[in-house]
Amino acid sequence: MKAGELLARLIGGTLLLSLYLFLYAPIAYVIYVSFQKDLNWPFPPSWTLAHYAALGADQTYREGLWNSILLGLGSAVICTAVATMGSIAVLKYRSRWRALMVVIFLCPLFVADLLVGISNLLFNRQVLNLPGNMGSAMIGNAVHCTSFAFLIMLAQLSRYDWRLDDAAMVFGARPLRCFLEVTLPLIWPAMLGAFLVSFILAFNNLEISFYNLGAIPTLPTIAWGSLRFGLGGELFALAALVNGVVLGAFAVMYLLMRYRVVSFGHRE
Amino acid sequence: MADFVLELDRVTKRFGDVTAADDLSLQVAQGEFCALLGPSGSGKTTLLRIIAGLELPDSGRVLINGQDVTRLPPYARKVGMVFQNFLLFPHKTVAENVVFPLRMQGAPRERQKERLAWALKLLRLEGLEDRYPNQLSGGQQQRVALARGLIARPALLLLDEPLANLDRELRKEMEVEVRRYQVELTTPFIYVTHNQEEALTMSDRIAVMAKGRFEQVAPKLEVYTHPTSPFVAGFVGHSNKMSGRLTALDGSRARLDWQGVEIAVPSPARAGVGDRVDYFVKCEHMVLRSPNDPPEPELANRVPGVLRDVIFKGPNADYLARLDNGVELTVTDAVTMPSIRRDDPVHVAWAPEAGQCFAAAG
Repeated sequence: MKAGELLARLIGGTLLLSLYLFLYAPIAYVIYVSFQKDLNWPFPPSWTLAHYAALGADQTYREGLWNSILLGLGSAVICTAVATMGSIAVLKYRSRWRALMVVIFLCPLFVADLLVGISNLLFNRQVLNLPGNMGSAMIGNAVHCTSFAFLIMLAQLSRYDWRLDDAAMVFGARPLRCFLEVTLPLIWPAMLGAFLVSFILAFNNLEISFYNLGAIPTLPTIAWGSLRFGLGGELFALAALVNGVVLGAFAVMYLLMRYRVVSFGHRE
Repeated sequence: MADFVLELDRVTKRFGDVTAADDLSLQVAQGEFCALLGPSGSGKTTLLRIIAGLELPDSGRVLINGQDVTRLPPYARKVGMVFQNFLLFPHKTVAENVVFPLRMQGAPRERQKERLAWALKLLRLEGLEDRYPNQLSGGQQQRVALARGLIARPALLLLDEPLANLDRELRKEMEVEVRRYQVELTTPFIYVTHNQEEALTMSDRIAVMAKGRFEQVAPKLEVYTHPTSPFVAGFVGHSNKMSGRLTALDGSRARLDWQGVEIAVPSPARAGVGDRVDYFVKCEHMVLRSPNDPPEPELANRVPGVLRDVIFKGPNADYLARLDNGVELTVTDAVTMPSIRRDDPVHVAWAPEAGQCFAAAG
C-alpha cells in the first residue's frame, strides 16, 4: 500500500516536472545563454553581462522599447474598455443571444495574427483611407487582445452580484454613479488583469504590429529584423529581459492575490 | 388620491407565458405595515420590484403619494428597500453603506452626519461605523440594511424577505424590532415574505398572493379567521382539509359527506347538493373529547376515532387522531389538556362555523 502510494507520487511528480520542462526549458535556455560569452556552445558556463551592455547602448532598441510600451498601453486601454463593456453586457443583461455574443467576442482568438494584421492594413488603407501608424497598430492589436481580455473579465465577473447595482439604483444612484460607486470598485482587479494580459500580448506582438506600423520599430520587429543578420548577443539579452519582466509582473499579481491585497467581489 | 402613500392600479407583468402580476390593485396608507404573503413563484417579489422601479409593468400604474411613478427609474422614486441577502456594498464601511442614499441625493454634509447618527442610534449600530459588512454578524448586517433603507426618510420602505437568512432565534427578535421601527417612524412598510408567522407577527394587513393574483387582502386577523378562498384557508395557519360532496342544504348550514362521515358545514357560495366542496378547519379550532364526555350543542360536529400520536410543541401539542374512516385530523391544544393516552378512543369535536367551506375548484 505504502510502496504503491510512493510509486504513484513518483510517477506523478516526474510527469509534472517533465510538463514544466516542456513548457519552460527553451525560455530558461535563452535566459541562460544571455549571460554567456559563447553563444554557440555555452558549456561550460562563462558568465558575462556584455550582451546586456550592448543592448543598452543600441539606440534602435531603446526606441523600439518605447514604441512597444506605447503600443501595449494603447491597445490595453482599448481592450480593457471594450472587454469590460462586453462582459457586463453579456452577464448583466441576460439576453437569450448571450451564448452567441460570447462566441463572437472570442472568434478573433482563432484568426491568425498574420491575417488580422494584413486585413487591418488593407481595410485601413482601402476603406478608411488611413495610413499605417501607431494608432492603427493599437487598434489592430486590440482586435486580437480583446478576446483574451474578454475571457478574463468573463471569468472574474461571473462572481459579481448584479443585484448590488439594483440596490445602488434604488438608493438614488444614476447609472454612471452606480458604476463608479459600486461596480468599478468591485471589478477593478479583473480589469487590471485584463489590462496586464492585453498589454503583454500587444507588447510582444510581431505580425499585427509589423503590417500596421511600417517603418516605426518595436522590440519584436527589430528583433525579427536583426535575426536576418544572425543571432546577436543582444537578442538573447532582449528575450531574457522581456520574459523576466512578464514573469515578474505575473509573480507580483499572484502575490497580491495570494495575500489578499487585491481581492475580488465580496470580502468573505 | 394622495390619501394613500402607495397605490397600485391594475398592475400587470408577464414573463413569457408566466403572469407574475395579474391585474393587481392595492392601496397602502401612511403608518401601515402591509405584508405580501405567498409561496415562492407567486409574484410577490416581482410586485415589489415593480414598486421599486426595478421592473417595468406591462400595464397598470404605480402611484407614490399621488404621483404617477410608473415610468420613473428607481433612482427617482425615493423609496427605501431592504433586500434579501441584505446586498450591503462589500467595499464600503457600515457608515458608508448607511449614508449612501443621502450622498446620492446630494444632501449637505452636516445633514448626512446628523442623519447617520440618528440611524446608527435607532438601529443600535454605534461603534460599528468603521467595520466592513463581512465583519458583522447576520443580525448586524440586517440592521445595517434597515438603517440604509430608512436613513433618507423614504416615502415607503420595501422589504424583500429580509429575515429569510437569519436563524430562528434571531428572526423572532428581528420581527419584534422591525415592527417597533415601523410603529415609531410611521413609514409604511411593504413586506414580502413566504413565512406566514412573520406576516402575522408584524403586519397590520396581509395581501395573500398566489400565481400573480391577490387571493385576499384584509387585516391579518380577518385573513386568519375568515379566509375568503380555499388557497388562503390552506396557506395561512394550520388547517385540516375535508373534501367531499354536499348531501343537503338548509339555509346557512349544509351537510357534507366526508369519506363516509356526515358533518355539518356552513353553506358554501356557488355550490348545491351533490357538488364537490373543500372544508377547512384550523387545527386549534378543534378539540379532543373522551367518548364518555356529554355532548356539547355548540360543537355540533363530533366524530369518533383513536388517538394515534401526540407531538409536543412547547406550550401546545398536536394531537393526531385517526378516525374510523381512516383519515387523520390534527388537533392543536394545550399540553395539559386531556388525560388521554395514545391508542385511547377519542372524539374530535368542533363547531361547523369555525371552518370555511368552498366549492371545489374545477
